[in-house]
Amino acid sequence: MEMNNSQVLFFQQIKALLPPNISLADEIAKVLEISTDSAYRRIRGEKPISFEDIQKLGITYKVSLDQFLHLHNNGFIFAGKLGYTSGDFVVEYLNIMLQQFEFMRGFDHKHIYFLPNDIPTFAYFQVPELAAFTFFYYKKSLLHYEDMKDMKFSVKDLHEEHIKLGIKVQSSFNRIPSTEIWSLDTINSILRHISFYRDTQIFETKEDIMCLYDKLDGLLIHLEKQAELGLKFNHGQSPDKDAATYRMYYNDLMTGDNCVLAEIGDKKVTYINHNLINFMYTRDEYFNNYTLNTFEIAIRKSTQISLVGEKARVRFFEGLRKKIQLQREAINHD
Amino acid sequence: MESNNSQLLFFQHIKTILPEHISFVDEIAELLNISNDSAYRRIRGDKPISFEELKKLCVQYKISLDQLLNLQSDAFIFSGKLGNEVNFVFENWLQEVLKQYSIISSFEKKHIYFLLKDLPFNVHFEIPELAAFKCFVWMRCFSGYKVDKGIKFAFDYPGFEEHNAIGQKIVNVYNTIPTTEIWNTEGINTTIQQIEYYHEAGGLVSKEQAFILFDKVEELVNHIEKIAEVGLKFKIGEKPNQASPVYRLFNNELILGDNSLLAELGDMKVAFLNHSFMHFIGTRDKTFTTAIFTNLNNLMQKSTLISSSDERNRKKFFNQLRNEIHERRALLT
Repeated sequence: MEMNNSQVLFFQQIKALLPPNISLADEIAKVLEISTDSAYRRIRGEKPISFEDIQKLGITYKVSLDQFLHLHNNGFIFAGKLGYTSGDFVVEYLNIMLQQFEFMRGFDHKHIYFLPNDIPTFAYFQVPELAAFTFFYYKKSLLHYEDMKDMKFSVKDLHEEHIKLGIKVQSSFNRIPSTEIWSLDTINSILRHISFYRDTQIFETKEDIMCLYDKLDGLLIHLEKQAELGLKFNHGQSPDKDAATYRMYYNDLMTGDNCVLAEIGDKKVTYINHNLINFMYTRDEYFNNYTLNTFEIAIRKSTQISLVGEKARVRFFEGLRKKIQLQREAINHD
Repeated sequence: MESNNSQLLFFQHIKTILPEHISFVDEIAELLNISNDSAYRRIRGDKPISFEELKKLCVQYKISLDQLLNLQSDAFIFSGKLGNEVNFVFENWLQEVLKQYSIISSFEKKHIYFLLKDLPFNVHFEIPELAAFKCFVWMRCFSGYKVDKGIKFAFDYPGFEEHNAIGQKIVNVYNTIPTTEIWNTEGINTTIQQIEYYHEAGGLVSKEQAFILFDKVEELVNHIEKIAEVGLKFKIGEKPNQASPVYRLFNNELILGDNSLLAELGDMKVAFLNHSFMHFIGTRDKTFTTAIFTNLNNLMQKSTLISSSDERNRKKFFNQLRNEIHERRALLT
């Protein structure tokens, strides 16, 4: 029966969105507040689901009903947060990120494609001083927290819980194979933040600025090592036997836009950066295939500098280091 | 019963779409191929409608279920055309840009806010040589665009006239809309890098062409400085008049923009986000556009207004851009 077929397919689509270890029937029973038996009857298409149930499921799993019913209207559903509610923004921000990575890790096949326009945030989490600076910048200059208005930054102001959670996020990310497409401008963002705060006297001392430059140098050494080995591992450690693959490309034609494409099982999710700090995502198949195509075009126009391309890799990282050095010298001449 | 309510509202929505003289029940019964009694039961919410019936109704009355049902605050509907991978037509993309700007321009109260990481893509059409080069680059960046890799760049490539004609229309329409742009000194980097890339990549752009392009980028920068000075938009080579819309330019030294755009159309706002290099997706979602607008206002507070006033900082800003162009031009091999 046609009706049942569509219903069965609808539930199959939801199943594909769940981590493999979650029971579809239990999940549906919970969302629709019915017994597991009733859930099974609906999943098998024996009992029609009501309009209200369709709505509940569509909202809970962000399923595009237009797409499911093939209603072509050039529309894409994106989901994401516009603000942060809990008392500690950093904890909430990191936990959202951790949930996403842990969800991806549950699948056999997973891969993250990233076109950063600044150094990927999670890379900073493995260096406490850089992580602290990033969160300071988010809260002061992007979220405009009132209590940050007159606050100055010092590398000594480290928050134990944030550091631990940040490292957890980075460790989780490091278990997912990824492809990143960088340019020499990828480092500009953080250098711009440091120099703006230097000009506006936000740093406690000159040593704080120098420390950040030193830590950035250290992070680049780590990223260069990852690229050389083609593997991901935590800062200060060596890759283990389960290390995920790391592919790095250098591109000097297209500027990054912080777009992320995640392959999760046989599905894809595109994450788009907006309002400088937030990400929204879509599971729209057409949109995601288009994004993958865009990544493929970018890769074709890029130079692989992980595993191979030693000369280009060395030149690339030297180029990044030179930018840091120029800023360091500018301070020394102040 | 809750379930009846949603279904009831869905049918009420359809009823508002139908002309008054049409019998609502007859219409539903005929479309779903059921009796009038069965149609009544569905309209009243006594009997749930199936997926198949839902689809028939949505197709017939052009209803977006996503828009109708997704009331949750963290889900947003974006729309935009991605082009057909099999048969991509670059002119259609240009026409779509023209269409979107024309819609904005048609409103009496309108304003565009642009948070840029690159030069606004449409300003390249002010200068034919730059328009030709950017079209050459963009066509190669689109998914699905089939290009003969060996074809070298030419200022008068086949098809340029048509592209430039649409480009001129885009410039004319864009110049009717009051605009606020937030830049920084890295805004010209992408265009410069693209000239260098195609010059180095198998000489698709010759050295002579590259020199011309650098000079044209400088010409464009000089023009933008002029419109910033008077705080009004006008076409290159022309002068502002009484009808010229306002132009505000901010220099933000802290952040790098993301090429997002917020348009005010009457009392409504539309946010456009840039993705896949040259595409834009837009939403009218009030929560989302409000968040973007608030963020833009915060950024403006932390930026320096260098249009209409602050000659010192404006000169400094544009001199930095010119210096970058000169330095990179001198490095051409």
